[in-house]
Amino acid sequence: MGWWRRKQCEEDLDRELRSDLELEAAEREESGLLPEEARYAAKRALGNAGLLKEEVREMWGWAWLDRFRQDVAYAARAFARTPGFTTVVILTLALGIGATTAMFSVVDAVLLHPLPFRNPDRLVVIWETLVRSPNDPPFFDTYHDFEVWKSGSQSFERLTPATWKTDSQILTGAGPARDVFAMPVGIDFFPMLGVAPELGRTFKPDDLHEGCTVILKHSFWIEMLGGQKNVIGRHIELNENACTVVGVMPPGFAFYPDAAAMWMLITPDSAIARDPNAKVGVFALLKPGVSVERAQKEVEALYRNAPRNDPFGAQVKPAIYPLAQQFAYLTGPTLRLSVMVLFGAVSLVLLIGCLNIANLLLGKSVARQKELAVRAALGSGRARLARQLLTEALLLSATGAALGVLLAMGAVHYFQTLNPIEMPPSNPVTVNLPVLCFTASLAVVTALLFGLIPALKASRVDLMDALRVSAQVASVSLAARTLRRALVIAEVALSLALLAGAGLLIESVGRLASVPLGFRTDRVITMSITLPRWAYSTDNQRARFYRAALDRIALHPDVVSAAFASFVPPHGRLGGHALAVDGWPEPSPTTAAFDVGQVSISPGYFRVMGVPLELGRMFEDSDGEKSRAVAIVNEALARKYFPRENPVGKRIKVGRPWADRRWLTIVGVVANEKDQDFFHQMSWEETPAVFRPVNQDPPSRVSLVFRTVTDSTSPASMIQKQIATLDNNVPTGDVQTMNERLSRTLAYPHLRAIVLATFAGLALVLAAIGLYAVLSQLIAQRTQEFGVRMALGAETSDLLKLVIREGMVLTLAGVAAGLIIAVSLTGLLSSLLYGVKPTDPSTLGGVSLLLVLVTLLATYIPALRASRVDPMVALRYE
Amino acid sequence: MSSMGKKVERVELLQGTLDMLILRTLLFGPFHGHQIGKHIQRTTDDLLQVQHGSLYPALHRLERKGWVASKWEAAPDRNREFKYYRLTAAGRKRLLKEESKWKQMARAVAQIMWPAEEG
Repeated sequence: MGWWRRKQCEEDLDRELRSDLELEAAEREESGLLPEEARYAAKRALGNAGLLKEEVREMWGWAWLDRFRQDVAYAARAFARTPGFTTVVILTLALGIGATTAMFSVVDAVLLHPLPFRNPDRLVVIWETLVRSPNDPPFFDTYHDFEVWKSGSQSFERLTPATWKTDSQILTGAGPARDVFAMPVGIDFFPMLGVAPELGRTFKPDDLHEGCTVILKHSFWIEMLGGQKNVIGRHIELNENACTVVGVMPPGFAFYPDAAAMWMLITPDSAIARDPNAKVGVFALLKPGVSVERAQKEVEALYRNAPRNDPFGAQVKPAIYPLAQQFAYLTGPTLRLSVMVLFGAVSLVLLIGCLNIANLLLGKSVARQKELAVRAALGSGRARLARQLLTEALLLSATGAALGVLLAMGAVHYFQTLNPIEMPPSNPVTVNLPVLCFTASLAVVTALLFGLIPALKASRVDLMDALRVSAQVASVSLAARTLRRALVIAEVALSLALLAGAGLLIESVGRLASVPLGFRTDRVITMSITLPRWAYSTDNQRARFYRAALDRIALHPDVVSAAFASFVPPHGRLGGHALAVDGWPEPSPTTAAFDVGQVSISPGYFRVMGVPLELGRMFEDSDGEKSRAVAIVNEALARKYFPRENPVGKRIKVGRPWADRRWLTIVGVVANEKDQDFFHQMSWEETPAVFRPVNQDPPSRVSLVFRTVTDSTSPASMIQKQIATLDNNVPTGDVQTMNERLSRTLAYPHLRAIVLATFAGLALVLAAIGLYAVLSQLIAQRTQEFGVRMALGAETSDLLKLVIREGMVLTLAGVAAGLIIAVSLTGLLSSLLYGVKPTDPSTLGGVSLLLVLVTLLATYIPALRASRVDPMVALRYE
Repeated sequence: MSSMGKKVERVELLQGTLDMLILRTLLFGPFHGHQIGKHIQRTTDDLLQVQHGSLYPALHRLERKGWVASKWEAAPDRNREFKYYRLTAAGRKRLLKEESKWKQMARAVAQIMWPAEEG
C-alpha cells in the first residue's frame, strides 16, 4: 500500500476521533457541565489518544514498517556517532561484496547464462575421441561422419557441419589483400541457432547451387564494408571467387571462434563436401525431450556401422557435449575451473569479511551493553533489541552492497577494456539483472552472517549486571571472549588457505615463465604471410616467392636476420604425424604414436631463433627442389626414435598415410624448442619434430621470424610494404614480438595468480584487522590489571610479551587449522599448477611465515600500547 | 517470551467478545463509533463500559477483515458527516458463528458453575 493511502487513513482516523470527541462533549454539556469542563471530561473518556492511534495503526498492519523506520533511523544515528568503525565495516563489505559481484558476473557469463540462441539447452556438439583415452581433448569429425549422422539419426532436429580447420580466405578488391576467416557452415547452421539476420536473410536451399554465398558478422560489415545497407546481393572476392553477400548478422551474434569474419555456405561443390576426410565439427539441435545419452547411443551405433576404409576410424568414437560447456572449453580449457576456483576464493574473502565484522560488532556490543540494558529496562523486548541489531547489520550490508556494485561495475569495465584473456563468444561479462539480484541476496546473507551472532548475544543481555557495572570493566563473559577468539582463529585459518592457493599459483606462473624454452625470445618478431592458392599452386611458385621475399627483407637495415617457418613456437607444432624409419617395420594406424610435429623452415631459422645444432649440419640454400630430400630432427625425436644410434644419415617418412611420401634423409639434429599444447596450458612440451627445407616443402602459409636491432615491431610495416610490392595479393599480418606471444600463452595462469593473490591479500588484511581489534579490546579491558601488575613490579617487556603471546596463540592456532584446510583444498588446483605439488612444503611454509609476520605487526601495536600503561592512571580508572 | 504469549491470548479473548457485541449492534443498521459505544453501554445498563482504546482498534480490525464496511455519511438529524459502519455479508456470517460459539461456551460454563439447576 502506498504512502498516500496511508496518509489518507491517518487523516480519516483523526477526523473520526475528533467527531467522537465532539459528540461526547456535546452530551456532557447537555447533562449540565460547562463547555470547558465537558471538553476535558470527553478527552478523559477518550483516554490516551496517542496510544489509541498507535493501536489502531497496529490494526492496519503497517506497524512493522514504522518500527523498521525507527530502527533504521536509530541505527543511522548510531553509525554517525562512530564514523571510524562504520567506515571500516562498510569498506570491508564494499570490497567483499564488490569482488564477489564482479566474480559472479564472470561466473554468470561463462557458466550460468544460457547461450544467446533460441534453444540453448538443446544445442550440442559432436566431437570424436580416442576409444583408448576418452578423456583426452576431443577432435574434429570428418565430413563423411556428418553425412552418415545426417541421413541416419532420429535424435536431432537440425544437424550441421561447421569448421575452423580450414584454409584462410584471401579477401581482395576491398583495400589491401587481407587474410579473413570465413567459417564454412552447413545450411542448417542458422536455423539451428534460431537467430535472425539484421539485414538480408540466412542461407536457403537455392544457395546450394549458386556458387559461393556468405553471411557477414556485424563487426566485419561495419569495419571492412563501412556498414553500407546495400551490401546485400553484392559480391566480395574471396580467393578470387565472387561470393554473394546474402545477410548480415546482428551486433551481438557470435559463434566460436570469435575470429570468424563471416560464415560461408558449404555446397555440394565445396572442397569440404568433396573430401570425405575433411575435418568438421558437427553441431546439432536435439529434438525436444531427447537426452544427450540417447543421442550419444544413436550416433555411436551409426558410427560403428558406417562403412569406412580408414583403419584409424576404429580407434575413434563420437562423443556429444552440451554446446555451452564446449564454448568455454574451446576458449580456455582451464577457464571453467579457474572461474570456479576464483569464485570460491572470493566467497571465502567475503566470509572472512563477515567474520571480521561479526567480531567488530561483538566488540562494540560489549561497549554497548549498557545502552542496550537501558533500552531493555525501558521496555524494549528482547526480540525488539535483536531486531534493532539486525536492522543495523542490514543497513551496513545494504550500503556496502551499493558501493560494492559500483566497484564491481568498475572492475568489469576495467576487465573489458584491458581484455587480458580471451572470453567465450556470445555472452559478454556484464553486471546485469541476475547479477544484481545475486548481490542483493548477498547483502541479506552477509547481514545475517555477521549480524546474527551479536544480535543473539545482545538479546540475552543480563540487565542487572550490565547496569551495575561500569562500561569500562563491563564483564565480558568468558563465552563472548571465547567466541571472538574463535572468530579470529577462523579468519586466520581461511586467510592461510587462500594465501596457500595464491602462493601455489604464483609459484606455478613463476616456474612456467622461467623455464628455459630453448629459443631466443628477445628482439624476435613474427608475422604471418599467406600465399593465395590460385596464384601459387605449385611448390616451385611458392618456394620462389619465399626466396624473393627473404632477399628483400634481409636488406632492411634494422633486420639482423630473418627466416620462414610454417610454425613458430610456442604454439602449433604438436604431434599429429606418425614416423616411419627406413629398415623398421611400417607402423600401422593402430600402433603409431602420432606424436611427431612437422615444420618447414628456411635455412636461417635456427640462427634467428638461437637454436644450437647438436649433430650434422644445418639446411643450406643448396637443399633445393631438385636435390635430395633432407630433414633435420630435434633432440626429442632423436632420443625417442634413435635412442642408441646417430640419426644423421638415417631415412624417415612423416605423415599419414605415408606410403606416398618421399624418404627424407636426416642431415642434422638440433636442440629442442619448447611448445605449449592449447589443451594443456600448464605444461611445456618437447615435441619430437621433423624440420624440412621450405624449398622442398613450401606451405602456403608461413610465419616470418626476424631479429631486429631493438625490441620494437617498427620494421614490420616496412616489410609488409615490401611484400606488397612483390605481390599485393599476398596478405601479411598478425605482427607480434616473441614476448607478446609468450605472454599470451601465460595470460590465463598469470591472471589467475594475480586475481587469487589479490583476494588472498585482502583476506590477510582482514584477518590482521580482526586480530588487532580483539587484542585492542583485550587490553582496554585489562588496563586495570596491567596497572596493578606494573605497580607490583612487572616490566614493560613482560606486558609486551603477554599481549604478543595472546596474539601469537591465536595466530598459530589459525595457522594450524589453515594448513589443514589448505591441504584439503589445494588438491582442486592441481591441474592449474606447474612444477609444484598442491602440498608443496616450501610454499605452505612461506605463506605461513608471511601470515605470522603480518599478524605479528597487528599484535605489536596494541602490545606496545599495553606496555605504556601508566599504573597511576590505570588504577584511578574506576 | 512466555509472558508475551499469555498477554496476547487475553487480549484476543476480550477482543473476540467485543467484536461479537459490535457486530450484533450493527445488526440494527449502520452506526458510527460513538453510537456503537453508547449503545452497548446503554443496553447493558452501563455494565459494560466500552473504552475508546478498545472500540476504535476493534472497528478498524473488523473493517480490515472485511466484516464491516465504513463510509462517511451525513447524519439524518444533523448537518454534518460521521463515519458510519455497516455489517457486510461476511460480517453477518461471522456473527452467527461467534454467537453459537458463545452459546456453547456459556452452557459449558453454566454446567460447571450451577450443576443443580440443570434440567
